[in-house]
Formats: sequence, C-alpha cells, structure tokens
Amino acid sequence: MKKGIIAVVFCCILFFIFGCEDDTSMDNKNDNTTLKTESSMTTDNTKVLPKETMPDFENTGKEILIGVWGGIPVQCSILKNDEVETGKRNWSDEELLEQYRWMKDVGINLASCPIGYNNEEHNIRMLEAAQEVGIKQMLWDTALNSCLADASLTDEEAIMQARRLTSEYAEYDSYYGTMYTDEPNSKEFEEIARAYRRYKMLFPDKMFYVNMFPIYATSLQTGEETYKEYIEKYFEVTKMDYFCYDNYPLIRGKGTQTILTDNFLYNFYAVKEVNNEVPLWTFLQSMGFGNKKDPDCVEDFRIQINCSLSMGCDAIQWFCYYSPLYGGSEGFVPAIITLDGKKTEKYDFLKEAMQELHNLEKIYTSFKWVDVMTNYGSENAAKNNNAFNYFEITNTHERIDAMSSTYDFVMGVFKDEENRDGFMLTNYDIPSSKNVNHIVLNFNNTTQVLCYINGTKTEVNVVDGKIELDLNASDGAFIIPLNL
Amino acid sequence: MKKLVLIFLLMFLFSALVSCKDTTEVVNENGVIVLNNGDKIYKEGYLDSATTLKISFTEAGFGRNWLVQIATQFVDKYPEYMVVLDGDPQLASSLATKLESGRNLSDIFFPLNSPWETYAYKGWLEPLDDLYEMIPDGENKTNAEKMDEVYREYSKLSTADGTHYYCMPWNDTITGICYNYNMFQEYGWNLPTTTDELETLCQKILSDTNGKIKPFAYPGKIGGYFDFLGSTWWMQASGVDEYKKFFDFESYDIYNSEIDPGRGKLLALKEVVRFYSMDKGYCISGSMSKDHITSQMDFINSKAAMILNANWLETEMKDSMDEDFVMGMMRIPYLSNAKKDENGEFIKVNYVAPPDYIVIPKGASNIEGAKKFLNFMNTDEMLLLYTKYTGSPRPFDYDTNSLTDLSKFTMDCLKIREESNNYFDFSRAKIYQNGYGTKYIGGQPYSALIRGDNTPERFCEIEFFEAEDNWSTWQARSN
Repeated sequence: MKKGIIAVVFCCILFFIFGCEDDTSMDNKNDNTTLKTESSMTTDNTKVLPKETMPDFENTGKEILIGVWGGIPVQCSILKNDEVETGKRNWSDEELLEQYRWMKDVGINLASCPIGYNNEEHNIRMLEAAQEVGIKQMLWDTALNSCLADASLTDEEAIMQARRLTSEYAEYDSYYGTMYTDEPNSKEFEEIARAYRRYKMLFPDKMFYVNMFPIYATSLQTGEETYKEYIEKYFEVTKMDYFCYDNYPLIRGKGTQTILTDNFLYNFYAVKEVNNEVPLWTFLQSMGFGNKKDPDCVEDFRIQINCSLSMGCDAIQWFCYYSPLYGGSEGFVPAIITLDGKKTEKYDFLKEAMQELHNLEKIYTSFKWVDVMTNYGSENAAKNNNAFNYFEITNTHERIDAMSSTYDFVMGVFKDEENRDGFMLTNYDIPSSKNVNHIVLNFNNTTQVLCYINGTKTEVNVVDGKIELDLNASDGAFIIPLNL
Repeated sequence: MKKLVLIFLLMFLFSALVSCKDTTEVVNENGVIVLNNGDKIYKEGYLDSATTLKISFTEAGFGRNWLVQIATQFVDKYPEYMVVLDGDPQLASSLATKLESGRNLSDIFFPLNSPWETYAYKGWLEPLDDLYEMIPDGENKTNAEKMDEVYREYSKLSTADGTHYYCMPWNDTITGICYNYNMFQEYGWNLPTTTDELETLCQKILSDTNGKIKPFAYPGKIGGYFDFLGSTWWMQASGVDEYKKFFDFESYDIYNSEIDPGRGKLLALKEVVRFYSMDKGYCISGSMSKDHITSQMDFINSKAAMILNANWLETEMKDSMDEDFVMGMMRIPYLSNAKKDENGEFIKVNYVAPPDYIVIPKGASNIEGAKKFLNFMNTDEMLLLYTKYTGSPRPFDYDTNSLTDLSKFTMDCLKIREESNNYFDFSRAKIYQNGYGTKYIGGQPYSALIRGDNTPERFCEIEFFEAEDNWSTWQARSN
C-alpha cells in the first residue's frame, strides 16, 4: 500500500514537471505558434539593444482624425412610427448646433457633408456650427468639383473659377477640404489627378478627398484586373498623398454571433504592401445594411478600431453617422443619429470606444507602422485563421523571443523616431465572446513595459522581459518595451 | 523493474486522465477519427501518409454535420486522404479575395451564391468536364446525367479557355412561406391555396389573436428574401417560359409591364405590396430594421405566424427553437392571374433562388482528390445522407422516399420540390454579365415598395424608360 501511494505521488510529481504545457511557460513558445514562429523563438542569438529613454508622447503625438459619412442634412425628417418619412422640417440654429455638439461629444472631429441634397446656405451653417464647437468640416461642392476637373480650362482658368466658387466659405477655420468623389473606377483617375493638382495649387493645406473601393470590389467596379493594380494605378496617376477606402467587417457568424469578414485586415495590408509611406484612411461600420450586422455593443465598435490600429490605420471615419433614408436597395437601418435627429443606443457605444481611441492617440501617432504579426491561440487547434492566411510575413521580431495566447491575436509592429519598438495587439476573438485571452509576450532587452489597454495606461509586471495580459473580447493593447 | 513498470503505467494513466488540450476526438466503428468536429478527418493509421484535402464551406444555415458525415465516409473508403474542414459563414463575400490572392487556397470551396462566372473568366477556377463525365461509384449514370437540367446549363460557361463546366451544384433551394404548425393547429387555421385565401387568413390571424400575433415576420434589411415571393408570383403570372425569356435580355421590351414577362413582374410586385405594405398591418412592426436571424427569432418566438423563407430555416434555427416548436412549409399561394394547365389546375412552380455551388480553384494543391470527393458526394448514398442531415435536397436524381424520421418541415419542402417546376434565374447575355441589364434596374425594389416610397407601377415604368433610353449604349459597351 505504502509503495503504491509512493508510486502515485511520484507519478504526480513526474507528471507536473514533465506533463501538460502551460500557457505561461517558456516552453510554450513551441506550443501554439506555427513553425515559422517557432523558428524565431530562440534566445541564442538575441541582439543586445542600446539603452532607451522614456518617450514623451505629449510632444510627439497628435490627434487622430475621426470623420464620418453622413453629415447633418439640410432638413430634419419627420417620421411616422419611427420608420417611414412623411415630411421634413428646417433645423433651428440651436438644433443644428446641438447636432454638432453631439458629434464632438461622441469623439468626431471632422464632420462631413449630408447624404443627398445639399445647398450653399447649409454649407455655411455647417461651417459655422463646426467652428462654434471646435471641429472641422468637409464640404461637397459640385460646382467646384466640375471646374477643377474641366479639361477644357487651363489650370489658371480653373483656379480662378475655383477661387470665386469657394470665396464664401474657404476662409472659415473649420473648412477642412473638398469631397470630390466616392469609389471611382480607374478610368476616372486622370480627371481626379487634374482636379487634385488644381485644388492643391489653390489650397495647399486643405484636403482633396477621394474614397476608393475596398478589396472585394469587382474588376468591373475598379476598372483593373486586380486590387493591387487598382491601388498602384491610383498612386501612379493621381499622385495623391494618402489612400482612403471603405471595408465593412461586421456580419453574422454562427447563430447570433458577430464575426469580422476575413478580408478586413487584408485590405489594410494590401494597401500597405503597395505604399506604406502615406497615411491610410478607412471607414468603419457604425450601422447595419444588407447582410452587414448592426453594431449593438461597444465591443462591435472597439474591435474595428483596435484592428485598424493594429494594421497601421491613420484616420477613421464612420459609416454612417446621420442616417441615410431607411431601407432602399441596401436595406439601411438607423445609424448613430436617426433620420429625425435623435441619438440611437449606438451613440453611447461609439462614444465609449472613441474615448478610448482618443486616450491612446498621442501614443499611437508617435509611432509608425512597420509590419504585422499574428498568433494562433492554444484554443485554435486547427491553427488556421482565414484572416491571417493572406499575410506573407516572417512573423518574427528581434525584440520578441516568444509569444503565446489562449485565443488568436493580431499585432501591429511599430517604430518611433527614436527607434523604440511599439506593438498594437488586438485580441482577435469574436466581439461577442465571453472568453479571456491570456497573452504572454517574452521581450528581450527589456526592463520596463508601457502598456495601454483600450487607451488606459495599465501597470504590467515585467519578469525577465516577460509580460502577461488578460484581454477581453475586442480589447487592444499598445505595448512599448523599453530598455531603460 | 516491477516498480518502474508500475510508475510508467501510472504516468500513462494520469496523462490519459488529464487532458493537455481541449480537443475532441471521435473515433467511429470503422476507425475514422474526427478531430474537433472536422478540423481533421482521417482513418486510423493513415495520418502520416494521407494527403490533405482542404475544404472551405459556408458554415451557415445547414451547419457542418452533413459535411463531417460525408467526409467520414469518404476517408473510410479512401484512406489515402485526410479531410480538413474550414467552416466560414462569410465565404461568399471573401472568395474573390482568396482566389485573387492565390494564398493558402483550399482544394474545394462551397460558397453561397456569388459570381463564380467572374472567377472563371479570370482563370481562377479548375474546369470540371471530367468530373461531369465521371460515374459515382457503383452507379450507372454520369454526374451530368444525374444532375437537374437547369443546373447543368447554369454550370457551363465559355471563357478564354473554351466552354467548360466550372461549378458543381451544392444545394437545391425550396422557397415558400414557413408557418408555425402548432399555432395553426391550435387556432384551426387552414393553409391557403390562393392569395385571396391568404389575405383572409391574415385577417383571421389578427382577429383570432386580438392583434397580438402578426401574420408575418420578415427581414427588412435583406431584400433577397422578398424576391422568393416576388419571383414565384412572377413565374406564376407569366409562366416559367416567359419568365425565362426575361433573362435572355433580347430587348428592352422585357421591362414593358404591358406584355409578358414585364406584366408578370408588375403583378408580382403589386401582390407583395398587398401583404407587406406597412399600412396593412400584417407584419411585425420594426421588421424593416431586422436581419434574417432577428426576424427568424420573431417567428420561432411565436410573434408571427408565418415567415417568408427557404428550406434551410429549420436547421439554421434549431439551436434557438424550443423542442416542441414545429414548423411547416407551405407553397406560396397562387395569385389570381396564375397560369393553369390544360386541366385547369394551377401550375406548380418553385423559385429556387440563385444557387449555392461548389468550385475547385485552379491553384488548389489537390485537384485530383477534390474531384474524387465531389464525385463521391454525388452517389445516391451520400445524397441521401446529405438530405438526412440538412433536411434539404441536392439537385440530382435520387429517391428521398427511403428516408425516414424526416421532420414535417423537411417533408413539406421535399414535396414542394417534387411536385414543382423548379427554376432559378441566370443569364449569359453580355448585357447582364456586364451589369447593365439587371433583374431590377436600380436594385431590388421591395424596401421602397413596402415603405410606400414607391409604387409597383412607378417602379416598372421607370425601369422601362431607363432600359429604353440606355439599351443601345448598354449593348455597345457590353460588346
């Protein structure tokens, strides 16, 4: 009996020493990562990095631009049963100003033109309201756009006309730029190039705004055989200094789950592969339409933001802010603000997520995106994530010896001007998940780590360069390992 | 020595008892191992030698069990293969990106309806002519001979590489009005044959329940569901042959609502408005903002007696339904102008809806295995297994009468299919392939019609003028 018990106890001791791998153990570097990661996880040849200094984000960082599609319309709709438009009425000055205050309060700092009908008087009202609350305003001036694009005019003639057309509003501090077109075919690039060149001659500091197709657009839509060719031609022909597109990721998964489309991350990457030197703007999804799920929790907003940051996005816009007409061929539902000017419950979700982003912005904008890394969690037994399959990456970093997690994550790799490393890690579990993602990162040459979870500075223990984080669904963490 | 053996035996025992990973492994009586419900399916003893066959499929309405079962049978018969399943609810919207990138391609894709023709034109798809000529094991008809004719026509396409079959049909769709069987029994409501009877039923539902239960739930965000109704009524009114002529896109007269097929379209749209107009009060309030899941929840929570839907509904909602919830599928009632046969009987039609399909990418690693798998899937045995697990048929010639223990809903669906002229619309006309000629110019009209923002007459009139004005330009651009 005694011998049997001893054998069992000995067995247990042997088992706990050599048995199941633990998420937090160094041996786990080979556990849930792919072979390509395993090969990078050696500490044998760790480079010794020079000492670093504490960063000063207040001086190096700046505000992130947050815009919208769907600005405040010329008139407010009158609805029957909250669904059917039965008429319209004019905004009072107080009402319009209140709409702009709501925009600012929710975290938007760049207002847009209304969907559909607009007029010159409303342009001025929007500029004044934006100026009053302290945000910027884009305008869509079709007369201006026509003259800028007009090939029968010389540049001088076009600029002279444009100056006259914009004389009523160009001097407003709130005037940010002109919206020219949405989702153009590549056949339009020559015209866009002409208009852009002329606008910049007239307003070198203002924005000439064009939004491009997403990666899932057809060749018929883009005018090019592949999306890569569409992006390349855009830069080659228009010579524009940023790229903006819209890709809406929230759809229904199994049952009542929400998932992200697997080309959402890839769209960022596809642009970065062509040109990582210019700012990247995107639209994110703040309402449902067609098969796109209506966001119904802060996690739906947060995961889109954090993923965008992990992929190096420089500006975010929301589709939509003010509701378009409900229904239609795309099945639009109410956006952040209803057709009759009321806040929906999405307003508070967006506000919370935007506050987190604004808390992080100075840190984030102090860094430049360099690459992306991914990790399959231990719960991902198949070691497959369709969203990650598009990346052609080494998935290694000289600063990282090992990484592991319970669920998948995507991590943007950044550098600042002082060559400090930064990592924007997003928990890539579905936003409706109740799981906690336990993440372990083993850094080398690291004595301290700055960590901002959803924009909030969070203390993390560093033990021989190792940190452990517990992230909930949709959470993101900006991590700065420092060798002080 | 004895102690050492004891220690190792105990170590083994403890290791077996305590699981390191939360993986599920099921081994069936034939020694086929199913890991994590399909992450890997292989025959015992063949793991190291088997070649991988990766299958990406839309994991939505029908779930995954049907494919796990078929794959299990496949590796049992062909142990040289290991099947890896990748369930992806949104495969249709990402397939173009996957094929264009060419990265990490699966060997077989099962997407919902999407423009496979475009993928074929771009040279991304493997031609399947040899698969169509293959005879499923132990049978005597080729896959082509076994397949429903409309799918065979649909799957053939002329590209720069010649005329080939490029896709295999996946599922056959039966559309109709799903109803709460228990509720109908409780209140003694009869299934309507005509739309007049349907309207009487709607009024009875409201009066019998004091307005607490609405006749219809619907997903206002997704116009495609209304098209099940609209297209069925269109086929009823114009007749299937005239309906097919629309998709030849021979002239802009197809949009003329004074003659068929345009006339049938107008009648159909008017009938949709008759039941779904917000003013009528037959539908759950707020349905315009609902997607398919939320509206289906309204239905299974008995807030509405009926919902326009298709044969996947029961499988899609089974995890959300109470055990005693029973649904039935009724044939879409006949509008008064519906065509009749020589005996004066209404001609039964089933609008199949744009089909879901199966393709093999040209860049797949295991094309041979993929074709073998698809051929295997088309045996009677596997077709019956598919119907058993999904409640849905595939568009092949096989006898489902041998299946027992089918739900009422499934039996209703199979009966509709068996008795109907089944059709879905597609077109090879250049004007259609280039996006100019469309089924509904300007997009599906249902939302605007239901809200009262437009009328069927105005919609059809504008369509006709648009087509008349632009037809020659569309033709020139398409050529």
